[in-house]
Amino acid sequence: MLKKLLMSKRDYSGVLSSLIAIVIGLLVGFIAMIAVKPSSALAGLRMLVTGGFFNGLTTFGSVFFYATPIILCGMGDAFAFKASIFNIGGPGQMHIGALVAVYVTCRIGLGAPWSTIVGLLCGALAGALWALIPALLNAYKRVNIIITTIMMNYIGMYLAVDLLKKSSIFDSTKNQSINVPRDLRVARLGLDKIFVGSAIDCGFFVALIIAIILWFILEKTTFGYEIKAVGKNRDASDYAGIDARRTIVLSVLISGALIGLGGGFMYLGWAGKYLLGSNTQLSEGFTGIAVTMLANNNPIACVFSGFFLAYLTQSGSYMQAVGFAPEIVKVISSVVVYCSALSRLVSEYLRKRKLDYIAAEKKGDAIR
Amino acid sequence: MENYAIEMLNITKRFPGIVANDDITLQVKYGEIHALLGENGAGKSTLMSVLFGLYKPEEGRILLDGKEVKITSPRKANELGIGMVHQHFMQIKNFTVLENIILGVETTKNGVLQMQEARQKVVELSERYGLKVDPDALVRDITVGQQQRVEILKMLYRDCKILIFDEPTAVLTPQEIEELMGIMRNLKNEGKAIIFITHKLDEIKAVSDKCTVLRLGKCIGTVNTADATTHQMAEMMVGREVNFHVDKAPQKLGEPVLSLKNIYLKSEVADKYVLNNISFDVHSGEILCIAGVEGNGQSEIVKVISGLMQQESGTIILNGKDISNESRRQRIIDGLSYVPEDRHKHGVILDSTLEENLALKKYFLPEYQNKGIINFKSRRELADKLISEFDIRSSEGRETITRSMSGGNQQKAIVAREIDAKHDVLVAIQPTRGLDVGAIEGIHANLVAQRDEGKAVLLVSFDLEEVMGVSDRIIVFYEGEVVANVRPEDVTINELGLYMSGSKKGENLC
Repeated sequence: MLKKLLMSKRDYSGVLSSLIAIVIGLLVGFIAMIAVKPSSALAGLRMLVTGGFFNGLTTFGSVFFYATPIILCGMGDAFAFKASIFNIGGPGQMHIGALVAVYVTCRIGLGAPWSTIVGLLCGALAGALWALIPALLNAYKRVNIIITTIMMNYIGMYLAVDLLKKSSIFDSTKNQSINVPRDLRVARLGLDKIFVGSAIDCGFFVALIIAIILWFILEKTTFGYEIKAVGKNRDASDYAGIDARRTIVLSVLISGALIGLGGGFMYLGWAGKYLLGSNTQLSEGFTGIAVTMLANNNPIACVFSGFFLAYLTQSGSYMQAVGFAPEIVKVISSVVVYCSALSRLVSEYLRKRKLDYIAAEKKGDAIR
Repeated sequence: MENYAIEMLNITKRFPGIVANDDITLQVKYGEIHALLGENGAGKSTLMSVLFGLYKPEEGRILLDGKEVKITSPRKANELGIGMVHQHFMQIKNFTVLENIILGVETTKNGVLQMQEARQKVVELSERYGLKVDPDALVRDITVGQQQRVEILKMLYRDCKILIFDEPTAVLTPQEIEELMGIMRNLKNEGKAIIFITHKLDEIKAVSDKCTVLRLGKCIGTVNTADATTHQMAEMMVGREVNFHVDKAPQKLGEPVLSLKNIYLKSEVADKYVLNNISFDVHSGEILCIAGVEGNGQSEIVKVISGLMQQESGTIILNGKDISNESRRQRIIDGLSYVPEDRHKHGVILDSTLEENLALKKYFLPEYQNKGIINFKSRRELADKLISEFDIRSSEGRETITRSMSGGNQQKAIVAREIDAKHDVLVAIQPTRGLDVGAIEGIHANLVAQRDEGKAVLLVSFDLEEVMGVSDRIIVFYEGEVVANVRPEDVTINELGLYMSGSKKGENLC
């Protein structure tokens, strides 16, 4: 079976490695549950798998909502990673993007749906600009982008919170942003009729379209070719006349834009999420890294891995129903996320196996 | 019954699409220097990787002192007394020589390093084998030749009895090569078994006792070096008669195509000029060679021409157009092709496919893209055309990941790409470095063909034989200046040596 999959013309090793990592992650989670409370472990596992449907389509619909920002964030990280840039400034770019998106949407006064569309685009732009500073420092001065993006996360968070408090969209009694008017939230296109009572909107499908566009850019265009060339060998790209600095800056800008857009979708949705007046980093910005790791940096695969992680989080919120403390949920999801980092090891192993199969076949030919 | 130190019997190692070693047998005695000769991709490195525990062979046995051993890792190989002097040294630049030598096998007493003992042993070893090197110098401050001695000392410090030298002379100057030969003879006289990988025939002739020749993964035979001529060995290696001479038609000299005027470039580290008022012209239909000892400004001048470095002052004129401040891309479009010095750093993207690499200088042309969308059909056709025209060999054709190709074929791919790009000037720096006789022949023929087509060729080479054989005109660099401008027929190698060492200065310097 493994052999058949590996030897087929299309390369499945990436998908397989991610699936194997997920299974390992779930197994470790199961073992943790056995250790904590053996009698409920099976029920816990069942809840983990079926929890996304706890309240039927209502729960499942909301998975789409929660998946959207982390998918966008994952695709943003993946895009920068193709140019060998490790953009871990997700939380900061997302925070700034979210603030701008909510502010513009609520205050520009173009009415639905234009306020929302312009607001989301401004959010993307803000995320891109927030990523521009580390991008320029890296491209022109070769400053380590991991360090700069981490610092920009804190600066972004403090700045966003401060600006929020000074802005007209701050509700000081609740110490959070105001309610986004219903007509200015992300359009639901009748999806709420199918997933009654859920937080679903069209954001997930926007992310899906963006994933296809990103795949097209990376695989079919000269710009994608340049990004991958710079990512694999910056010196050779420079020598070949590719403007490596420009390519790096552009790829990080696109990365930041996607992450900023993710922030916009998160706070212009129907789940009742508000920008807080307290200094908290947006953890979704980091989840994006796990999404892209599990997806082997493939933008299309990011849609699936993001959906999977969102599903798991959603299931997790019902684990208390089978007698596990809320903390066990965090253990499980972090183990799965941790395992996704292993998927690279697994895919390396699968690649080796494939080479072995090929070698064995060649040997067979030689004997015949 | 003879006593061999190491025997590799009927070794077979396959990789996807290729049999790298096909039933190869190699037997080496103590007190013997055994050369392993073969073109790039012949299977020398694979065979040594098997011996060093990096690859597991599908078939075959390895005997050490007559007893079968399984070598599963380089560590195991070391324990068994097998040591390897790699082509690229494994050293920590900010450690001293002594610290590098003992790294991994430190003697300690209650957790405290016993440097004194180690130093004594190192000093003893270096005296015994004539390996002169200061144990307290930092590795980054010593020459490449000395770094190589550090590698050898490392092996001796670990009591290795079998030493593998992987193309040790590729990085050395002629003088250092002489010294290395002496060291190898000392090692041999002390009873070590030495395997010497190379494709330089005169070195084999000079130092080795036996020579095993590989070709395309097969063992062609083992000869006593004393009984074979270099021509015979070359023939065994490439499978046909080898032409050591470069055939050239009479020159049809044209107008200057590339002109450099008063180029200055300051050193990044020291307060001096690495390029000090350099001016010269390259004409169409001419191969101009820049000769000189490595590090006298040759790489810098080529980087300045290609735009990888920006000169402090001076002008570069290509086809009558001032390109001094143009971008790299614009220079390429204006007709500059460039075979870079460092294949892996600048020449190819190792983890991309051959097709992607062959398109690197052309992908942006209208023929290969439309509004930014790649035309895969014409890109594939380009790749297939170059692969067949230049005989680039690989396991999976244009889909091959470049990293898996042999060095010679990577270089062929680069040369193919640069010659195929529309150009008037071809700049090549060390295009034959580390290549075997067959590949060198091919690349020289390419360069001459370019010249006969009326292109201007600028060749930088540290190999005087190559300089004398290929060039129409030679300029010599010494400390960032042009010190000679001569024709090969008017000069001897010895005279060139005098120019190169700065002890003589020529006239009519452009």
